[in-house]
Amino acid sequence: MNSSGKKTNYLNASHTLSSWFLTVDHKRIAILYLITISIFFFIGGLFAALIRLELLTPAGDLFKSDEYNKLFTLHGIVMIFFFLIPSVPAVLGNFLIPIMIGAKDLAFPRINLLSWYIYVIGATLATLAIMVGGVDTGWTFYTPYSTVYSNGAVALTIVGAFITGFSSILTGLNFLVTIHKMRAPGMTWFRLPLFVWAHYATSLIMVLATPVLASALFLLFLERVFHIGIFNPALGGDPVLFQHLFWFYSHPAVYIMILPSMGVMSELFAAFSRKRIFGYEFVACSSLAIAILGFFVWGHHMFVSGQSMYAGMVFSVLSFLVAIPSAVKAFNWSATLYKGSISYETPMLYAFGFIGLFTIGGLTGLFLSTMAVDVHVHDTYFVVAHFHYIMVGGVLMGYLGGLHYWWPKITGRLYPEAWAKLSALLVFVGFNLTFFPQFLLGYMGMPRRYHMYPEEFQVLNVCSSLGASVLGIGYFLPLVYFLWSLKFGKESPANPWGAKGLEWEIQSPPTTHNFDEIPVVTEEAYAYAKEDGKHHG
Amino acid sequence: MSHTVDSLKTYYLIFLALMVLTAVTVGAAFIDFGPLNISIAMAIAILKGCLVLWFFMHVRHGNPLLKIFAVAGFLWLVILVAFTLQDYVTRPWQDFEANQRWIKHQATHFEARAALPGNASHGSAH
Repeated sequence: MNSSGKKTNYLNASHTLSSWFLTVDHKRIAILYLITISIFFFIGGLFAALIRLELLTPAGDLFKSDEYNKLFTLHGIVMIFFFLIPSVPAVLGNFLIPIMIGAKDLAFPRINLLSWYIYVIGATLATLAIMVGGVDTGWTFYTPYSTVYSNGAVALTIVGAFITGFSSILTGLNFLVTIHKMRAPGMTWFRLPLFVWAHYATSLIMVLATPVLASALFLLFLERVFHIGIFNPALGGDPVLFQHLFWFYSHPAVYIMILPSMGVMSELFAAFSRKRIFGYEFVACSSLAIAILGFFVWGHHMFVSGQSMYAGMVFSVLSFLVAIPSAVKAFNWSATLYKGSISYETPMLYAFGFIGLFTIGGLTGLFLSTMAVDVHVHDTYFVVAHFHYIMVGGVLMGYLGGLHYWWPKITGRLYPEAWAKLSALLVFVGFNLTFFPQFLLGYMGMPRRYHMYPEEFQVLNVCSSLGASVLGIGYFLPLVYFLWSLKFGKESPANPWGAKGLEWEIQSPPTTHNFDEIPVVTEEAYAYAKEDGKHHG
Repeated sequence: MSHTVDSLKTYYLIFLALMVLTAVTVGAAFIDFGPLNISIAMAIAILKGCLVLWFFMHVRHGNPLLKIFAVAGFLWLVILVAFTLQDYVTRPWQDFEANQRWIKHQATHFEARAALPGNASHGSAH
């Protein structure tokens, strides 16, 4: 108990600024991440809103071509590097992994804080680049445009992305060591929550792939600033080499984004159907399979880039393989529902939304990894729709679902359920209204990255912009009611969902050291009793 | 994990080996081995990298888990190089000369740009 009569927890243990900015508590660092990535989410969202506003009419009313190029580039860079990649791991992973495995903190608490500072420095540099002129290369920085022709603040942005990469590497390293070395007695590998398995797989990608992005960006920097010929054909370089190096990271990066959300899904499906995840071991190993197979498919981004036909065929076949572990997950979650005692609280609505959106995103990925189809739809809105279904439909549904599920644990407060259900509904409807028309637009041949288009595409573009407004409200609502709940929300008990897992056995919010005594784990993950299921909801 | 400390002598010997190998790299650069040029340079570089990992970074005193992770790093480098090469070695290089001419032609506007005042370094690098 502290002086105000409330139980001491990690939030009220101390109140000074330095106790936040110099904290080594994984939970406080998660909060720091939560605040910073939320800011970047809304900055990236603002760019998206402007894009959709411009595309409301076929003419270029609001922006010139140059400005529009910068707009979609900044939307991509901010959303991918500064929101999606850190989202679930840095916020929920940071907060939950030590608690879920029965540890008092991550293995390297100071490195954890360092990774947040590195993230902030990188993100600040990129923001500076936005202010001093912006970037118009697309988030992919393709050469030789980025090294020779672009007039934007490419070098500064690259330095920002380069630095942020180290934050990701350090987080991944921290998770790997923590999961290997700090599991509580009895917490065997196959008793780990699937959230932890997913983060283990994610961390492998972070550690193994991110250095290659750093190298590629460094080489790009050398060519742009010092004119050393690496990618520019006029200097004896090969532009396709940049694409190889870039996608060696950036394709697995999609799995850095989606795997943690899949981890969240496993927790949600178990908790809200009161059942152990069907085929737990397969779901656990499918995370690793996705992480590893994900390294062998990057060439499917380069079918029309001058890559050899043979390489294209190999990458095409390998890309199909990733569908297998992904399908294992989707089918096993569905099978978990069978004879489960399902309840439809907000996190579960997000989980159902995830399955729908991820399935559409994943299956259209198969269209794109088919070489002949890809030639037709490459660089059209079909691609834009596909990756938004994965990266927004998938990742963000997981992130928001997870945030709702663990909000009572993180803050000790309950959010207003009715408003939350409304927002989940708005997000699902708004998302589909925004991006489904883009599949049609792309299939009809509307290229991406242009601010003007033929008039026959207007109806679908208006649908898309309308959907974006609904989606925007859906995303804005949680911001409002989460903040509201901090002051006015009901206080949460330790386990408001009646869920299984070490995080629900400690108080909400947890104490600074999570556990007074290191717990001894004696049961499987998701050990929901049969009777528990019968009596629930 | 045990904290075995190597003798200073070992470190000096490895340092010496690295210096010798550096000299060999430089020396080899003056001899034309034809298509083997890159392979030889890379082989020496890999050997040096292994020495650093094994001795300076203490992998040889690490537990099996640590060694697995060290090997994984190498394995992933192999994936990167091998799958990138499967593109390069299967490209239609018989058209290489024609392609180069085409690229040069396409790049004329680059040269025009490089010739602009203030872009002198572009020209010199080219």
